[in-house]
Amino acid sequence: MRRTTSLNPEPWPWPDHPRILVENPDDAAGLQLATVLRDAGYGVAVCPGPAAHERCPLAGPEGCTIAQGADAVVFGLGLERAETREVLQALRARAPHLPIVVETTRAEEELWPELLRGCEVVRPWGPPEQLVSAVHRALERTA
Amino acid sequence: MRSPFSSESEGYEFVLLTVAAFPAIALASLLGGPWAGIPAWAILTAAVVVLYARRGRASRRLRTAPPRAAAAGGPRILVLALDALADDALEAIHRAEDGGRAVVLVVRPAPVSTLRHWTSDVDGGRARAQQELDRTLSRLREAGVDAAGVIGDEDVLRAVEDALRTFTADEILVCGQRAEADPAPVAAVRERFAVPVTHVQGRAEASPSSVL
Repeated sequence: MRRTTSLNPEPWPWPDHPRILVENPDDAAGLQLATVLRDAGYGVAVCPGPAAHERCPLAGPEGCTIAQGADAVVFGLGLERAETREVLQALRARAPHLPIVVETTRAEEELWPELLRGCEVVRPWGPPEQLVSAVHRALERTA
Repeated sequence: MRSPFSSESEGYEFVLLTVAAFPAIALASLLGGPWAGIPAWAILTAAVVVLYARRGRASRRLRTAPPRAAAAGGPRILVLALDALADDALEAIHRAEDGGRAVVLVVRPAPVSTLRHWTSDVDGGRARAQQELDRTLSRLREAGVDAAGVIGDEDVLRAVEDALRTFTADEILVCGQRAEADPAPVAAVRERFAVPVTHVQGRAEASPSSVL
């Protein structure tokens, strides 16, 4: 059966700034990352990712205007669920030049090397500055 | 209810639904006579309305926020004033200052009734909102707060979004007793913007011209 989506991404409301999409299922963590990135001069959008058994619009025919309009993505949805791995795959397939910073563990990195190839990898428990540096690096690499 | 033209794909889907409905209505008319088409039309229309109403309730928009201003000093606070300013709101602003001096932008949505909205008679609502805003700004300035104000769209989300285009806020303070009866605007602001949101209910200053 075709999985549905309740996520409704709309175009970036503030298009004049570098834009980072933060994908994080935890509201508080997403807001914290958003604050750190806003301090570093980026406009942000925070997406909680698809709910269980739901499809991300990016992986479906709707597409995701926010992801496709972003300058970089911070992917913190985890790789343990098929739905979230599908999001990362869709990001890489639909926007192959989009810099992606993935928050992941070493174990996941060993389990999904192909999926993470070309992505900046940071540990989820690292300091906020580490994430900002990774975003800078990812942006510079594709500039 | 979410508009069926919110995105290109949704608009395309709506056109397809409409096109698909015509043969169904025509078939009903052919099989059951001319009057059979009317209940077929009514049933299909009701089904589409229910479909879009359910979809509107379920959809989740993403939280967004512009970059923060690099200016030194106190915090930048966007005050969404749904009512006259309460003392609690002033206290919240002073607490947030934390030694620096806050820069405050007050956004007062200009609410209008549905009838006035459809007849585009919004001048009265805007004038009342302006009076309310003037009083709020006077109170803030008397309390030593560096404040400016604008009249916003009647849709609070659009009002905040418009304000954030020119004023990069560190936090949003939603003020108003109105939210006690209807918490939807506060919840909607929290869900829509990636900026810390504080709700100050407080007791609003008596305001004869309040339209909310």
